[in-house]
Amino acid sequence: MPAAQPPRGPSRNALLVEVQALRQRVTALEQEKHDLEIMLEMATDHADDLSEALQQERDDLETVLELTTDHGDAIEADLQTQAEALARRSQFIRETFGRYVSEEVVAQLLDAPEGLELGGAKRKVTILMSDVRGFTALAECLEPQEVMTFLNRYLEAIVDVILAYRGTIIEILGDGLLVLFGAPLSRDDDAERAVACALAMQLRMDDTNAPNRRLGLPDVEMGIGIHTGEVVVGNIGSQQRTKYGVVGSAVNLTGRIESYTTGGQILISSTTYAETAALLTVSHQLTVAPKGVAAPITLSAVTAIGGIHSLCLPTQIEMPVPLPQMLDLRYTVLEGKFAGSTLYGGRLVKLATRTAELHLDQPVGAFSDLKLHLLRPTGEVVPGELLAKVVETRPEDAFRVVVRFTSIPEAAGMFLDTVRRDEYPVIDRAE
Amino acid sequence: MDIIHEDYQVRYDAATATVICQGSFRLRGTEEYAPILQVLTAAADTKPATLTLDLRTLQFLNSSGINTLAKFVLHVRQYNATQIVMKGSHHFPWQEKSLKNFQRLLPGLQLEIE
Repeated sequence: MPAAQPPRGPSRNALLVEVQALRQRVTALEQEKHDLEIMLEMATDHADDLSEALQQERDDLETVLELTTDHGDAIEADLQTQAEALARRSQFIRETFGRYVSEEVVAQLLDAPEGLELGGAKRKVTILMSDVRGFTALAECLEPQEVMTFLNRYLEAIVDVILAYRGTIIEILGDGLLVLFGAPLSRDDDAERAVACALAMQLRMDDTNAPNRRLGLPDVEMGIGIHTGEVVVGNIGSQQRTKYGVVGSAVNLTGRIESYTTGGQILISSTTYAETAALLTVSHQLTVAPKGVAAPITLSAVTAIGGIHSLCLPTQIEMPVPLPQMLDLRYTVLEGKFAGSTLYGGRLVKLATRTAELHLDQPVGAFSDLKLHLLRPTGEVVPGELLAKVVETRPEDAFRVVVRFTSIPEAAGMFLDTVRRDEYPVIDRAE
Repeated sequence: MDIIHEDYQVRYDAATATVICQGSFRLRGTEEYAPILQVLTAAADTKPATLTLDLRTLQFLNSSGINTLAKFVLHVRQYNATQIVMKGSHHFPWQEKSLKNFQRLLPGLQLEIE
């Protein structure tokens, strides 16, 4: 038998080397694993940091977003409050002024609410006061419904004119009006617009009278007084009832000026005249001494205005013609709206359409208002009382006056027509 | 460094470390607010111990404006070295409501509404 062969394969030494190498490999792998674990840990930590930073940033952004939104809400709430306050103010201005001034003025007030002092302010304004002559007498011969129809037709026409000239209607008292130019908004041409408005109002009276004539009613006429001065304007009244109003002696004076007018006339004070003189045509001037005014004042009777307004009253000069036979009359002097108690006698000596010359038993002052009854030649009283204003007195003869009739009742008018038609010619001359 | 505009003004008073904002901030977006943010961050970059932001005469601030102020507060916060004092006024209702929100970004922010 052959001797046993040593086993084939690596020698022991070689195996030992290989084992050694494997051991080293394991150690290296273990190191690598450890390193990787550290790296993983580092990466995780870093990611955590990053994530935390991102979270912080996200939180900040959320906070900023909330902050911005909250701020937006706060601003919106403020704006809403402001808008509501503005709406209330607009409503107030509309309610306070809407009926008395034009839409244009309301719009201007809303545009410049800070310029509007509702609490009360002293300011220069031009005041216009008008009154219908003979309205009270007319009202007495009409049914209540007819009185209202007449009044409303009159006011509708006149209010339109006033608003067109940007007047502010402060008061409507029956047939009388109180209008301001220069409040609540003042303009350079306040006085000019007031005078132009008065002329336009007079020209519109024909529209008011035309339907009356068709009904057989007498014409009514309007007297207008205008004055420029300082007044206090603002809200006047109690909590329950407040209105935009005006107070001041200038208002009272305007009322006095208006009381000197006869029908169809416009009288303006010297302060208004000073601002408008260049544009106006004045038929005459008169000096009056109203109660409560220290010195006499000069008034101008305006018949036309030039410039952009260009308005002219039709002129009618009446020439009273002597009557061959004087007509007897009885009269009382009106004080304010009340008739005096003393009845005097007198005679009608000259007559035109609306003016007449009278001889009176007792002298009366210029601008006195008289209540007259005419007597037929038989001595019988003509029904109905005439109202007349003394427009001319003579220093040399205090008993002789010229009057302008402000109200002629139907029966008296017919009687005067008979007097004119049958015997007395009347000259009406238009210029 | 100051911004003087018809509607608004931003001034930095270095002596008192105070930024004063006045008028109405109605600018549009980040771009238009950049110059204002620049004045604010430049003031913060001097790292004063206390930086005062005086908004008492700032009548109006839009949403982009509040955003700009928030960015400024975050900018200061990163230094962790400056105390911000914000001065506001009861006169403008938005200030009471909005300014206290900045304390959510920077709890140490001091608010003085008068």
